[in-house]
Amino acid sequence: MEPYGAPQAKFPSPRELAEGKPGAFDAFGDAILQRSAAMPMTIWLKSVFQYRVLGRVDTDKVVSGRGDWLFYKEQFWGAACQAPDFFREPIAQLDALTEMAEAGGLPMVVSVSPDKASTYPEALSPEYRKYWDCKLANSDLWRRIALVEAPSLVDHRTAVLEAKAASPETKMFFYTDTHWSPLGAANAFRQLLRSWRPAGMVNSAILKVDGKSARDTDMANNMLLLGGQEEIEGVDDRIADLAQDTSNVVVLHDSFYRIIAKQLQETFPNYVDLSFPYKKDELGRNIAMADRLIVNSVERSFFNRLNSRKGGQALHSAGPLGQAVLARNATASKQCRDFGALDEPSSDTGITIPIPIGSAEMTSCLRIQLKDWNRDGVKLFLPDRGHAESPSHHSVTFMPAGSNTLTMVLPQRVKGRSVRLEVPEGVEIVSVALGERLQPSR
Amino acid sequence: MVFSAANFLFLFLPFAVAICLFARRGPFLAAISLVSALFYYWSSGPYIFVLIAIAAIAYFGGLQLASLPEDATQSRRSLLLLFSGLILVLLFFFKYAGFVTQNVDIAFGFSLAHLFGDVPLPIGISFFTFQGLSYLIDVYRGEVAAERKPLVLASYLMFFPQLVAGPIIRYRDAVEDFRDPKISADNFGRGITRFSHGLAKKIIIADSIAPIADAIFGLPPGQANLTTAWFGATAYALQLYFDFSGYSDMAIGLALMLGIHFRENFQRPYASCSITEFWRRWHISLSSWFRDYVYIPLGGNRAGTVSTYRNLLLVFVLTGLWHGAAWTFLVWGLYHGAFLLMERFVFKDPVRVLHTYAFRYFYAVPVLLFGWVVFRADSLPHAFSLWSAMLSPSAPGAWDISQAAMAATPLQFAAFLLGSLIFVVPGTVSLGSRLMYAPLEGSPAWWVTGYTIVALGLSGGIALTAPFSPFLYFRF
Repeated sequence: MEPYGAPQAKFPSPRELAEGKPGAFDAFGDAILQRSAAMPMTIWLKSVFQYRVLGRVDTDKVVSGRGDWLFYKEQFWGAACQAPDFFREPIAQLDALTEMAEAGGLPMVVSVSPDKASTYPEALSPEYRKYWDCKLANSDLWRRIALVEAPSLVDHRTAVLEAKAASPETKMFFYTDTHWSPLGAANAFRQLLRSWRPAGMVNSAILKVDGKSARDTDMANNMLLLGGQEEIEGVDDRIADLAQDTSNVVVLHDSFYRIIAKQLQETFPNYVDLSFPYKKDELGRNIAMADRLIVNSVERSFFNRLNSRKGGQALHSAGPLGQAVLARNATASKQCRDFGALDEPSSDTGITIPIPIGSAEMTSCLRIQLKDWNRDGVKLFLPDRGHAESPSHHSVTFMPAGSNTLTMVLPQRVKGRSVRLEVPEGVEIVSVALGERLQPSR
Repeated sequence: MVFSAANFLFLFLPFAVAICLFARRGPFLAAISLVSALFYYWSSGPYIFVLIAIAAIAYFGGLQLASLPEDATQSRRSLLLLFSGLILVLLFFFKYAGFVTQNVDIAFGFSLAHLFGDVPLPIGISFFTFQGLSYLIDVYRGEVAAERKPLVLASYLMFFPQLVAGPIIRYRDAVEDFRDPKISADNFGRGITRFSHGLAKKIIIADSIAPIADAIFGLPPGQANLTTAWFGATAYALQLYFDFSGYSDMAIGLALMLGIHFRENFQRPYASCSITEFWRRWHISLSSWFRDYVYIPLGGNRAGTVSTYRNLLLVFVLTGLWHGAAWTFLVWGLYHGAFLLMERFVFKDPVRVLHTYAFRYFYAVPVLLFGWVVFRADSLPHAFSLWSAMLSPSAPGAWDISQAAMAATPLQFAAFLLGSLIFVVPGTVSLGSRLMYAPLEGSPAWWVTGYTIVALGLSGGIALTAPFSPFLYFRF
């Protein structure tokens, strides 16, 4: 790995050079230059001049904020102002997946670590507004939408802003790193725990600043090759003393939760640590056996991971994580009983299924028999959360897995309402049956 | 591979120059041809066959023309048409077939465009085909003798400094230098200075201004206000000039390092006071090519007023289309042709009559900026929306500068100002010229050396650390 954060260009094969493959010679030249001393030395000279002399850094990855602040440009999304639908659908889909996980006996919590710009907007430089314009509006917009469409989503910006207000002299983010500080991360971790543990217990655990230490930072070292370290406050976090959980917790995360690796290890001694990009089989195996699933992503990558077209479907229900969660739900559905077929299903590619209210201690189950289902996904739409009249975005996608039968446990929320099923062209709905399952005690 | 890329500056160029200088007393032309072929193959891979084909057609065409007696007019003309036609067919196939078939499909409901949809555009095809054509026509006219040594002609056609983005050099202007290159320490030094000058223009000014133009031209139609539209047009005008003239400086400098002299391609074009004058200062090698090989053979201005106007308009339609197979380029060519006609009709000798600062700033510059909008726009509707903004001073929010200010960072705005000032502040261009043409002895040599080191060092450092930025005329 090249010190400035990008993989070194590989040497093209002799065959590629001989065939004159587009870009082959450029790759050859890049490979030589990147391995020479010239490039890192020039980057260092340029960075020193820009950061330490001019105080203005503007590269393809990094831009200066006020003072010593540096910001990673990817969090700005090219200064594009996004429309509400850009956020609403993926957030609603993730919420639906969370509900299906819960219904299948797998408590799932999704948390989002804030971008630096969302936490320290006052540190953004007006000189570089062309890069970060719309960032704050986008940031606020998706959060407003999430409050309605995904009320269980844990937005770590809340906790970090509270901690920032309580200790304004203590940094919640590094100046020259993309990540939050140990104190910011520790406060976020407490917020995560409070989503299912008693707040009083979590809040009473000791958390205090514990000296300062110098650390290498990614923007200064990897991207700008400036070298040097940044001092940041350490933390003495005794959360595990009060909130330890020995159950089988799976934590899927990116580099932000690595900062709380110690707390994770101490609080969840049996936890399974998985990071993006995950291995499909390993993820599936662990989710099948998990007692709890925690998914964390930093804000700038969150929507890419949710979007089915970009980001490899990492968080989309049609992706490996989503299918593992739905498979877990399907396993739970084996306990469903008393299936009664509904009337002749519609021959359209979609069907709306009313779910009876039933008794409080039971959850509803659904079994669908299909024909010729072997390619595209089947979508299940749960009732919308906030907008009774609007089409629901709360959907999950079941991908073909060799069987024409889908059986699932539905969330409690859908009782007394309707769900909608949509199948791809060419797939026939043969039968639909509703059953029920005794709700497991928590 | 572009001259401002790190691969070229730090790998290819030292290698190429070393090879050619090492071979200067022996197989110099073979060395030139070899490194030039490698240069083209680096960028275009197997499409080097197009370049080789053009060279072969020109070579055999020239020999065939020379084999006929001078009074065999009909036969010589037929041969010229044949070999020129072959070159033009290649140009048409790679550059215009897709555009033509698309529009035929739209007009007549056919389905021909898919046949040419994926045909790639070999880099520099517009330049080396024109060089091939100029060679054949000059042989036909008897202005040059047909070249019998294939390496001489190959070196001329494939010479890497001007291969992919000009200037379009004439065989008759360069052949003596190819046969007997004037390689000397003085030429080498001047060449490096000229090259550094061009590199700095491209990397320090043009590439800094480019994001401004890209941001403004990237706004959705109807979103730019008056201030933003004019700012964007000016930014693009400066970007294009410093990018293209910078490339020409680099080409001239590289050639000079190897003892080959090229003519100037730009003469401070935004100092023009009329469009007529502009075309004597901008991309001189192209305008003179069309003058000598299209305008004059059609009769020029000697066949009556109507014919003169027709010839002028045709030249500018072709000039527009030379830049690209798109309606925007055609309209741009017509636009310039129309102004040239108007100037000639109204003023007879516009270069002399309009030579005042007033005409420069209140006529020529705004007309040029307007023209660059359609040249740069993605489509005619896009151009119209920007023109509309530029002509709407009373529209709500027209004079609001916040949108324009958002398009530039301080460094980018500084480059924009620097670029603008070069055409406004007296003496700046003459300072540049003094640096480029100063004798390399005595105290001026120190200034030149210092300037060269700073320009080369700064630009090279930026090239080594910056993402790729292609030359704008690379795509023609």
